[in-house]
Amino acid sequence: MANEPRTGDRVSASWQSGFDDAADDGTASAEVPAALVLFETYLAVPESVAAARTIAAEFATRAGASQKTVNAVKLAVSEAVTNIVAHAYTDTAQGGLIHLEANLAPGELQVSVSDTGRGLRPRSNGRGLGLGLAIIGELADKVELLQGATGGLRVLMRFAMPASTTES
Amino acid sequence: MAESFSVRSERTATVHRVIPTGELDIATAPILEREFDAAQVAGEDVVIVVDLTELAFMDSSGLNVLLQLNDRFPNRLRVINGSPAVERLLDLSGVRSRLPIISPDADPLTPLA
Repeated sequence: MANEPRTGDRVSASWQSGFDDAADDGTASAEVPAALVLFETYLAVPESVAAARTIAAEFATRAGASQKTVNAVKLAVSEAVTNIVAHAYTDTAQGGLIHLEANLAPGELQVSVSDTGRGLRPRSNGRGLGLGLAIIGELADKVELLQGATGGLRVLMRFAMPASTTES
Repeated sequence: MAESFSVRSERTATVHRVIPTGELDIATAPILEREFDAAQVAGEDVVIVVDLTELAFMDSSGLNVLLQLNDRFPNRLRVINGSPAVERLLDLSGVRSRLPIISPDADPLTPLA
């Protein structure tokens, strides 16, 4: 449901073989295709974090999100991309890529961040996946960890939107 | 994408104030960390103030720097927090209670409660 109440601890981990965008509220047949779609690819380097969060915030603004939601998207994307970049630095194999995807779906803004292989894992420096992922869990209305198409992990974040912005 | 970030420091005999400006994240956090190598030279009795009021953005990379500084300078660190974005980050991360946060108009030399 797109309008579930916000709670502070909604991080759920599920493993699926794809990116299932279908709404689960039983109204999928009436949905129109999202007109606003973003797909960006970045090198897994620290400088990409600012680039990705800026683009994501601009997308949320164009989609008609409130300033509060725009700020939430910006911070959540910063955390998700940071996690991948931190791994790229600790792993021996560098040169990975990061995909940022976003689309405006009925009732919600969907934003996903994925890498091309190693996936989101606890950081080797001991700070853990905890803080960044906990922040994402507080910001998004729903968070899912999915297996990406290329074998990496995808963090899919859903932000509730007022119905008027998605029914045009 | 150009990201603006800078750090300046102001020194008195008793307080070393560090003021980062711009966006603090994994790319810019090392700049802030380096600024504290000078502060460590300043002596055991100098209070170190990190003034966050000029930050336009901060994420968990900035929080990690602050937590590490608090470990490195126990009882000597003070954090001044002014922007709404940083306020929100402190609250939703649960980190607020783990940092010595003082208000902008407080005397940093006042012992922590």
